[in-house]
Amino acid sequence: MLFDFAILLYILCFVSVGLYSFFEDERLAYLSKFFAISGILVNGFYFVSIWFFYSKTIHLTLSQIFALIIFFLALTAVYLNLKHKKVTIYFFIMPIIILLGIASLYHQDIMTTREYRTGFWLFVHLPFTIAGSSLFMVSAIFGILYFIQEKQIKRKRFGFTYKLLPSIDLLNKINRTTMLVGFTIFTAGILSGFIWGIYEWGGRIILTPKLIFAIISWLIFGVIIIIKKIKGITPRGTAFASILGIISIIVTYIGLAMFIKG
Amino acid sequence: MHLAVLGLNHTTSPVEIREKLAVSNDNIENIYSKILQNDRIYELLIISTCNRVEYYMVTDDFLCNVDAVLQIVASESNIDPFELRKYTYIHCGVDAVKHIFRVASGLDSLVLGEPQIFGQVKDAFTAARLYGRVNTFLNKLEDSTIRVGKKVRTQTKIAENPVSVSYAAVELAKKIFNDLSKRVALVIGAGEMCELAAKHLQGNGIKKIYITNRTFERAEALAKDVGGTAIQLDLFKDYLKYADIVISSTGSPNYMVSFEDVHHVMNERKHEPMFFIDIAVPRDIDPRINDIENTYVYDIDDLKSVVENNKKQREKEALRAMEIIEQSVDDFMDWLESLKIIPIIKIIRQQFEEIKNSEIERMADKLKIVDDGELYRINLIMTSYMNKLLHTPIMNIKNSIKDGKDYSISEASKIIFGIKELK
Repeated sequence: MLFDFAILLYILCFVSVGLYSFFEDERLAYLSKFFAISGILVNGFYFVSIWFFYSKTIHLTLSQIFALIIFFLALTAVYLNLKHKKVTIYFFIMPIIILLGIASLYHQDIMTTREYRTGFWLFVHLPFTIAGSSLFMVSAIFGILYFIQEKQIKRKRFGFTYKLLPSIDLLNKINRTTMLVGFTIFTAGILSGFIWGIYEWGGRIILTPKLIFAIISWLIFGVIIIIKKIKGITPRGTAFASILGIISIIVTYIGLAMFIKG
Repeated sequence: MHLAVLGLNHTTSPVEIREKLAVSNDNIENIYSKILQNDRIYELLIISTCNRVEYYMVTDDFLCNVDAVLQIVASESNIDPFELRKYTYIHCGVDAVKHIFRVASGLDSLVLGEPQIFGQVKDAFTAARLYGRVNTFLNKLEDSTIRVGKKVRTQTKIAENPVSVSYAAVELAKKIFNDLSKRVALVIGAGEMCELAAKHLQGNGIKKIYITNRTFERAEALAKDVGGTAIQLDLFKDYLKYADIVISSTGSPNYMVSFEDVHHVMNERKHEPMFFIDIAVPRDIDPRINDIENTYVYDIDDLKSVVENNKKQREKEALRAMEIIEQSVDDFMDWLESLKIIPIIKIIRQQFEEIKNSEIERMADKLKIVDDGELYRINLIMTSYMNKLLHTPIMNIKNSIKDGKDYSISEASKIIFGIKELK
């Protein structure tokens, strides 16, 4: 119920920012900001309510994992809006949030993890991995937006999105910063997952398909960041890499969780 | 009472005439005082900018008095009045009100929607208050003009898209670089276009501007003007690696910046974006540079097409602005019409007041009421009764005056006393 209400607030945020992009009425910008922040609060309260009233952890169903991804995506969108004073950021992130919200409605009963004893390391592992993945998702969104805006300026043909999008400099900055922060958080998630696995599997590491793909995703982002630090990568290269990285993440956590056990 | 405007602008007169008529701080007081010697000009406002000189007057006979103003202006500017008449336009009543609204909104400007005119109109009203004469009419006109100007700017996008090449170039730069205050510009050439672009960049808070020119002294002069640094022309390629924005407008027959120059520099810059603005013909910047990743080259044709698109956008917005102006003109004319009824309302109230006072006096005599407190209370009750009695007719008179129709006595009575249907 609370999560549905949060999704409704995100939809309202998208509608107001959509109207703002046509009418450029500042009141609509404030409204979209209000809906986004309210959505986060309700979304956060949803987790608190699960914790307190049902004494459940938040990682039982795919729907709840979607809710957590949505929460981190919205949190990042609000942070970026407040930092860069660009309300149109919602216009590009909210559709993903809404789609995930709708998808979550159809995956209420899919169990992504078995009923393990919930240890401390699993409690660290899940939110960190999901927060890292959400930031990778934001990075990929801004990678795509970078390509769109760069193409418009390069080809001197300005479409509808030209005015809505910030400078390519800022798009590139958000693209690489979210990737870097996401990588740090994701690393913490992966490490805590390893430790949890060692406890869970009696001191051994079982290389499940999910674990292998998680390591591949981690390596992709790690290699990009290292090359960027040592040799430097063009903004286009960073944008491309972030899109490649998120594909790997999707394969790992959505594809494998839904189709392969492990 | 009419509002009339006598004026000339960039469409009706050449600059030689406009400059003769221009009203500056030196002669403004003199012109106001000479025109206001005519005691049938009750209020006066002069708007004088580089593209227009206009005299707004409130008068009871606009035909005679506009001509009198024209004679004074002609004699003050040493122009033959018959010659001057060829360049002027006259608007009266609704058209004069609409004209000042159009002027303040930038719809009558050389550059459609330019924002400076709004400030100039506000300044003109301030000067009119100081040197001229501003009463009820012009006070209301000022309020309405400012409101219309603001409304047009906030509710339409008339001033949003840049329509000058140099300004459009700087706006494009903002779509490439997030923060110009951290960026460096290199200006090759010190001509008018470069100067304008450099000034726009400076106005947008660019961190540093390097200026180079064949004549070093001119580069130095422009650098001084925009707070930049002048560099020798043969050294400018050494500065390319520091430059995020390169603006070039020279008379050179060959490319000033080649593909190889930039290709080499981009590695040193660690692929930081570079924006090249080539305003020269023949071109100064090799167009192939645009193929290098993270470099953007805009030549004069590209910028002109951006400007042309922006102009079309502004023309579309001008139609929306005209709707706002038409509505505001109607509101102003309603107010003007309502002024006619004010003396009548005053007389009605006065008559009621007199009747009330005489009735209180008569009653006091008859009932032998001498206590001041009691008389005061009776007066209060009677005043309240009178106000309630008058409220509906006065409001109905004020409201119905706006529709400007002629009514028969029975119709008017029904409207004034709010009678819906006779039983």
